[in-house]
Amino acid sequence: MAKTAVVGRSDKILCFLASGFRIYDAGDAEEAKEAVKRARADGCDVIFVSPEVGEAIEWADKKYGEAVTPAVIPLPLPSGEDAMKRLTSFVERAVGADILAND
Amino acid sequence: MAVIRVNPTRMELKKLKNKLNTARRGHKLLKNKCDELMKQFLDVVREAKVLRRKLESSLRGVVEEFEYAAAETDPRVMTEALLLPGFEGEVKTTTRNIMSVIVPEFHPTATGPESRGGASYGYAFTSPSIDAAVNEICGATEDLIRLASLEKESQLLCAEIEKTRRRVNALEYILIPQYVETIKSITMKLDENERSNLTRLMKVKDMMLEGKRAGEQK
Repeated sequence: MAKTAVVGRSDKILCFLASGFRIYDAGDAEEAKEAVKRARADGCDVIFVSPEVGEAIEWADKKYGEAVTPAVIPLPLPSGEDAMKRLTSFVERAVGADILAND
Repeated sequence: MAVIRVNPTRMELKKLKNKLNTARRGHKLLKNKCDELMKQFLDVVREAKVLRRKLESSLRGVVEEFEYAAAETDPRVMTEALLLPGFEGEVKTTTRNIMSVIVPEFHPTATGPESRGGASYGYAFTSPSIDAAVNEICGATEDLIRLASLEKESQLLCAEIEKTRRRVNALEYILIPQYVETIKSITMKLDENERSNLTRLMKVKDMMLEGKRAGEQK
């Protein structure tokens, strides 16, 4: 069985701890990268990254993008507009244009 | 289009014709694969977008509840209450094969404290807003895990579509035209050789006939 984790500022993501997620404290993008590495080493297959340290997602996409696990994805919080842009960028890369812009 | 440098022989022509057939078959197969991957990819992205929007709006409430709880509770009490969860969420990871792309599927095994006999903290010193936030997240856990599966799937499918499209384009615009041009050039060369042979034979025949006629006249 694999674990689930949330990476971000601990005061913002503490409530995820009581819901069964492991939390990894990270104040900036560099710490978030280290936290993602630690989460992976601890056997986490699903790693959510909070929007405050969202820059770590790009790094994780390069490092783990081709691998089946882990899934490093942005935490769906209201402040995470970059997460939707990430999905849009997938469409643009695959199709050539964002044909789902109006969906 | 540059012609491949090969000897203009019938053997090479046959080999190139076989290669051209294989390339055309591969191109057709890869194009079909690309179309099917695209169909699957767009379905997955649509679902992921809908789920993300739904989760964003439901977790908006969680953030508000949690901030409210943090404001009215002593931070130490709050940390103490949440620091030791009664259970640890686990996921079972399986894989699925979509047109030879291996994608993961995550299945949550425990989705909330109620599955392990209730919350891990006492209700006496904590704010009710924490209970609401925790319950909200527990309710959304299944959707969060599903979102992780969908986004990873879309990432892997996107990479595969890019790769397949590059291969299709390389076959369509480079390899197949090169083979066609080379086959054309070899055919022209062989035809030219044949014409030259024929002309030589006709000339030799004419010379022999002339020689024969000259012999008869003498």
